[in-house]
Amino acid sequence: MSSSASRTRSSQRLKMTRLRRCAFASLITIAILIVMVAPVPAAEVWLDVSKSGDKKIVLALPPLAAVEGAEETTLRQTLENDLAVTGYFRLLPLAGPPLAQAEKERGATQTDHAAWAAFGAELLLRVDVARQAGRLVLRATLFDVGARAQLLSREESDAPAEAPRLAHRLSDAVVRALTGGPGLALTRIAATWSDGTSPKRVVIMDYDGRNQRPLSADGILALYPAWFPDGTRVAYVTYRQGRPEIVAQNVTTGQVRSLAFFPGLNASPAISPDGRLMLLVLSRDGNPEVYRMAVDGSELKRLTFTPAVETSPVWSPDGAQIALVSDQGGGPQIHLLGANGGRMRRVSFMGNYATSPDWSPRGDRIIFTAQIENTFQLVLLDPATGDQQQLTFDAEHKENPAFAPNGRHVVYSQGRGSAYRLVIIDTVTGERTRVTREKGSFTSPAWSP
Amino acid sequence: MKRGSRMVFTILMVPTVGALLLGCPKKITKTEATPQPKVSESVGVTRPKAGPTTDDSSATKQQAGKQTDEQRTAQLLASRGEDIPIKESPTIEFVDPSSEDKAVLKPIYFEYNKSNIRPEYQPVLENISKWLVKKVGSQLLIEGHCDERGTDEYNLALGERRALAVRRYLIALGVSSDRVHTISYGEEKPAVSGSDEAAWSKNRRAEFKVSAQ
Repeated sequence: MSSSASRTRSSQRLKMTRLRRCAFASLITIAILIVMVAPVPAAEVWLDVSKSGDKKIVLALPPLAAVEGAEETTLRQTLENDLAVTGYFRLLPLAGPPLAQAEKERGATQTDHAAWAAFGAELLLRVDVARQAGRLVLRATLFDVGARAQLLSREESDAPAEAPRLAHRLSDAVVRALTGGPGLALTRIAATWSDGTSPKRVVIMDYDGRNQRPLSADGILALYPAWFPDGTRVAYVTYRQGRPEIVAQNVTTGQVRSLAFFPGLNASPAISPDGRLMLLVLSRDGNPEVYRMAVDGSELKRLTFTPAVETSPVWSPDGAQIALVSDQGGGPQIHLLGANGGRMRRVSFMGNYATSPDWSPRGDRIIFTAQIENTFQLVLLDPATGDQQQLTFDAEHKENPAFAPNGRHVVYSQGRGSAYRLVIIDTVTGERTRVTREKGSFTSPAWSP
Repeated sequence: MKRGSRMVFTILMVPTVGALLLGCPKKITKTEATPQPKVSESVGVTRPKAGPTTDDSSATKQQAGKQTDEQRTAQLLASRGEDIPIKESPTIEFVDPSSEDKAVLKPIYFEYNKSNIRPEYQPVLENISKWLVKKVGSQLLIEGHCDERGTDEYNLALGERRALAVRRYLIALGVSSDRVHTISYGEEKPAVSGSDEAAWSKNRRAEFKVSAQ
């Protein structure tokens, strides 16, 4: 080879190597970058709640115990209600599958998956309740009938009087085993209650209406409960000092602490998702306006500046935005506002009176109540697109909606005149369940975290 | 690097970097930081006719100068329809007026969802301002109320606005701002029970309580 030819060839080889190396390095970089920005697939769950439509899973729930006393009946009824309210399941009628009966008679210990599948069951929840040493002992197994796989196995005991809580904990365990997320069965609802003669006061109850007890003091008007995000306290408006004051009360100890008692109105408390700030409505500047404040009373900042009424502020779950009511257009409508203030943007366009917004903990929707043909109905709004969808159509007023922590269920106050009750609606299926069991009128519900 | 390989690198990197920069859509909408300026003409506010300014005879001689200034400012704000801040909360007790005083301290009624003072009630407020001149040392509590329709939270704020509208009107007539106080009960204390316009119209009101003597 001539020296120049060899030089050319070696320099060509050098060029090729460099080019290859460069291309290789680029491809590796791109690959790494693609992996970094690609969406991470969610952990595998049996039921993906973000995709669930209203198609229900068939869940077979055979009889719980050989002998059904009062507590066993309570346990079963509570469990059935808890599972039904989730909206995920269609429960196979309890009296039927004679399969359970046949298995019992045979003394069979193995589950005949094929037989249950033939009945249409997709899931089988086997629960045995027995009495031991004065306690109820609950053993439960959840089977995926089609895959013949056990999804959950659980045993616990409690005093017979705690039968509902045994059921609640089992229902939540089933929901967690299937969806990976928490259930509703141990959540609570705060609301205002009056028997018609006494002033409204704040009460707390289990989400199914059990264990209702008063929180605020007897005989003193108290309104608008709002939970703290850690579930330990409820903020509300009280007239204990003769005019509206915002306080926070510990739901366990009962201790009350004043949060806001400025001259004029103090109303509509809403605690931020991180628990550090609150929104409130004050009239200290001569007009009801929305303010933001740290819960310890520092950092008071006025957020609205119109001559109109602004009220009912609520936080977005990321704490960056606020939904509120303003009547600057003549009648009250829902508006959005940045958490630091600025220009309000109207988002409700159904009827001429829209109030009581609440923001889903999932961030994707806002619910409010709007007067449509003289009846207050619930409306769902997508804050990103502005799309609105009427959720209810029947004759009674539906007011003060509040989302559950799962962002799917909503509790609200339904009625006419002076008789209101609390109802839960599943926003996916539209099904409703009555909550309140006691007499009187219930309004202003708030769902615990 | 040689030119060829540099070109290859750039061709491969540019779309990648571009994709990264455009990648995650922001969900949070940006809002302006500056607050809106106050508007001097508020919705539904009726200006009182120009009337004689009344001396605030409840002021002590030493404080007379200071109160007159504040009072003048408050009157100016009131006549322009602007918000008048609430400086202090009353610490005194308020009671129902005597039957004699009730003849003057009559309730003011409002239209549905409105807080403006209707012309037919302006004479009532003028009489009340004259009554306050005579009743040295008396203070008024203006209670704002709504009918049962609508949601309770909005009604609490609307009741407050009704009480503040009456307060503003009285201050524009020359009443000192530290003699008139407000409270809202929203829809919680109706005067008349019933679910028809006859009852509702009687519940959309501002009522007066007087300082205990």
